[in-house]
Amino acid sequence: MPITPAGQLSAWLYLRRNPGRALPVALVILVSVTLVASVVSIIRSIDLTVFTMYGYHRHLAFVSPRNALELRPEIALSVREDPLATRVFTVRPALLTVRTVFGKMPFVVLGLSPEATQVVLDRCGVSVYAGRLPADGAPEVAVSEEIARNLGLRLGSVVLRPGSEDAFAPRPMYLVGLLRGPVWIAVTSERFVRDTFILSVESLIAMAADDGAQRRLERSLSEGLSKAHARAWTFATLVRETRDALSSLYLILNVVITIVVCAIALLAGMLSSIYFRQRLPEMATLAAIGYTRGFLLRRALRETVILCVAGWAGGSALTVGLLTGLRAYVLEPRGLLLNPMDPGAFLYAAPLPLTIGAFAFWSIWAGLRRFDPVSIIERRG
Amino acid sequence: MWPRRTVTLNERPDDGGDPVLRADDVGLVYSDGDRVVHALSAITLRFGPRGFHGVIGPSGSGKSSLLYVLAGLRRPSSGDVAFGESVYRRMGEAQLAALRRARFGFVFQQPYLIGYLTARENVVAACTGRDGEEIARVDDLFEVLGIADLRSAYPHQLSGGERQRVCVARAMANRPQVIFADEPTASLDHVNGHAVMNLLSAYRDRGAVIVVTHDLEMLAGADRIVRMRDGAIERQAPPVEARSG
Repeated sequence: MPITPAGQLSAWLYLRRNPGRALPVALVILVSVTLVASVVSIIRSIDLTVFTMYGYHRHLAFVSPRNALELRPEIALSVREDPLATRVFTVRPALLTVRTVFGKMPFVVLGLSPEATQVVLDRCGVSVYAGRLPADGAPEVAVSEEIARNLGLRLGSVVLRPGSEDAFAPRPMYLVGLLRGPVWIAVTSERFVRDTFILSVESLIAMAADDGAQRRLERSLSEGLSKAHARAWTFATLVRETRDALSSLYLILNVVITIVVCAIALLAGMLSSIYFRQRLPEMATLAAIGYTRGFLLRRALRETVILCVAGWAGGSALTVGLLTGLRAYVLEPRGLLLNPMDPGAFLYAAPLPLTIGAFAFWSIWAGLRRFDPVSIIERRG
Repeated sequence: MWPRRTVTLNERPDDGGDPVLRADDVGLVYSDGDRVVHALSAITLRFGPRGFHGVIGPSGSGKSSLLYVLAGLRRPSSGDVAFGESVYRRMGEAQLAALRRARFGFVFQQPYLIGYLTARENVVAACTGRDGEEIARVDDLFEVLGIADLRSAYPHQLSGGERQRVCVARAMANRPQVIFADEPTASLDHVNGHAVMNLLSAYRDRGAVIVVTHDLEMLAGADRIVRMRDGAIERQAPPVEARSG
């Protein structure tokens, strides 16, 4: 620490030598940031889950019939002849369910031809990690390793079976391959589904040359198809529907966070105000010997900013640590998704130190505006 | 280092030149709840660049109010206070604060020091400059005031007398032109009180020292004593005359 007047009155020195006053405020901020960031991270894991689970939609657009088991010929033709569609394949889906933090969600097992399977996997950046791809016409399934972990499956396990409410198939379908890649995906033989499932819906998968063209293809399909007879399942639709479904949840989350922020800011501000009142003789002495109110205010501001930044950084680090542990020991073994370093969660927590800092600064500013050093000095006498 | 000066009780005021601090027809009125307090009325005083001045009077006579008005810590309700060419009425709060910081030193009744700073750091905190020479001078000050071994002590480790000596060091750190001391011995025992007054009076050759006290004995070495009553100057006299008055 340099031996200068500024050094003696630096915010750092005050905070270092007064841990009894600095730590409670920093701890309040730290705990509140941890609370908010953790809750937001967990809730945002719904988004993460949806966009990871159904992430293959980024690369694949689906067109399915409405009130029919197959697309009308003119609709199928229009999809196949769309200039943006470089590859179009027939797909017949089977359904299983996966566990998520918000309950069971349906997951489509794509019934594809062997050629289509390879093209789709390549496009999604997915490859076989263990085992092999399903044989044409065989009751076999290959799934992403996350799905296998989620459902507790191993190679050879039955994935879909008769009598299952969550993963029905007329005949047992066995896991023959584990897939690895940036998205979750499950594939089976299109021929097996067509031959075995009485009600198998025939849909189309349309792929463009790249992801940019894919977005344009999605728009083309969404706008061009007769909504009475077909529906386009696109990534944009997925995002919109996810946001719609979660909008009420986020509204509630925002209200709760606002209440938490206000309550904690009030508490921390009151704490700062109490500490400030305890320091009035110090402030009065400094004012009397010639330090301006502006200097005292800036000094208080620096102390507040340091506490807020330290509290926020500490809270963020603690959140990352807690969520990493939660993910490693609780969620990941169950195949559940959580991003411990979700930037959105820390942005949600940012109003906490800002509000606490603003409230504390306001209370100190109000105190300094009214304070009369002489009356404080004389009162001590 | 300031040589101790022996002051005889009948010495006349020797302020060493033109007035550096002056109050002209100063009045101070303020509200205390529903009561209007006339703390000062028609005060006219001159203080030269050097000398040891005492202000004495009973409780409520306005002596502390006078000190704070002269120091620019209270604004007078009427009249003018000026330090050199700087008239307080024309100065903003920041300018007055800068004047106090650069030109004045303060010793208060309670030896208040910043609790988390060492004695030396408390004194350095009052320095205006950042150059090594000025900061090094603080160490000399501790030697001169006989508190060299207290430099690293925190206020809670010091006795009341030691704290007040550190406050005197803080008041002298900037080589101020005026030191204002408000009842600097009130919270000290007799021995420590005299020690502090000796330190203050030794500064009279460097600048003006204005001490407010209710204890006339503490002003034995003063060049001039201002006796106050009911917010007005009752009498200005050298110590011997003040005693007899």
